Amino acid sequence: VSEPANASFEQEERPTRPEDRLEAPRPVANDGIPPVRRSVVSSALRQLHDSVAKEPLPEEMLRLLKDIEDRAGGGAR
Amino acid sequence: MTDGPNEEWGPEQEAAFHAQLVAIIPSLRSFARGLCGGRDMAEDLAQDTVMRAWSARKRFLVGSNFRAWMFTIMRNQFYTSIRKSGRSVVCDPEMAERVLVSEATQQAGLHVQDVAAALQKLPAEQREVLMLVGAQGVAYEEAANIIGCAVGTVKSRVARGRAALSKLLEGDEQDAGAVQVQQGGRPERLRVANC
Repeated sequence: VSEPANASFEQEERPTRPEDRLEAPRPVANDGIPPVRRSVVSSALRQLHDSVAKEPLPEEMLRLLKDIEDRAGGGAR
Repeated sequence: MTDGPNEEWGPEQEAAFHAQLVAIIPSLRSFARGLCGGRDMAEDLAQDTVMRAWSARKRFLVGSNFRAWMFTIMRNQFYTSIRKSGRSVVCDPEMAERVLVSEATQQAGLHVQDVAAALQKLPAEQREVLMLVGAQGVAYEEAANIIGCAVGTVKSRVARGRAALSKLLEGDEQDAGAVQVQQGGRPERLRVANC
């Protein structure tokens, strides 16, 4: 089996000088969204949650909770 | 949840359970809205979840994660109803526009309605993690427990969902890669993520 052309790759000299290491690319988030944009999206999602959570409860839910409360109270007595 | 009824269940547990149930309703409604899109369907889902949780309260393991238990019930109920009805899990855009009745608030140029509408264009698997992790601050591990998948899967779905939502909010639907096309009223397929 012939030796691959890039067999000597691992023997290549790696940069060890501090200035070379400083030029190494910084880690990038895997979603590709700029941090500011990601922050805006996260904030918007939280606002969406807050908006829905603050909406008044519908009548059906209020009745259901009253019914459950009565049963829970009955169980506690 | 335990396998069978909790034999130590008594009036104190009943009262504590009721208090937890009431306290979590805002979060349930928010999660339901993210899943369903439509207000009416979401409210039905939230009520159904509360009823089911109350019926199964004696199977709840006191001291365990109540929020995760409730979200799991809601999620299971949502997908069960979707399967039974054969309905789409992605609502129509007009419905998404009516998702919120509250006055819009603005954050860095984004209206909440825009976010709600864009969210409904994403696959359900991305919507649910965005609502859990992004909107409600649920930890990746807890979200993975609720959904029943690996933490890494949740992380990748959140990342893809955020990216797609960001694209949609920028008006770049072509590049969002998650917009589903409704064809002649037939149920839309769920995009299946790599688990």
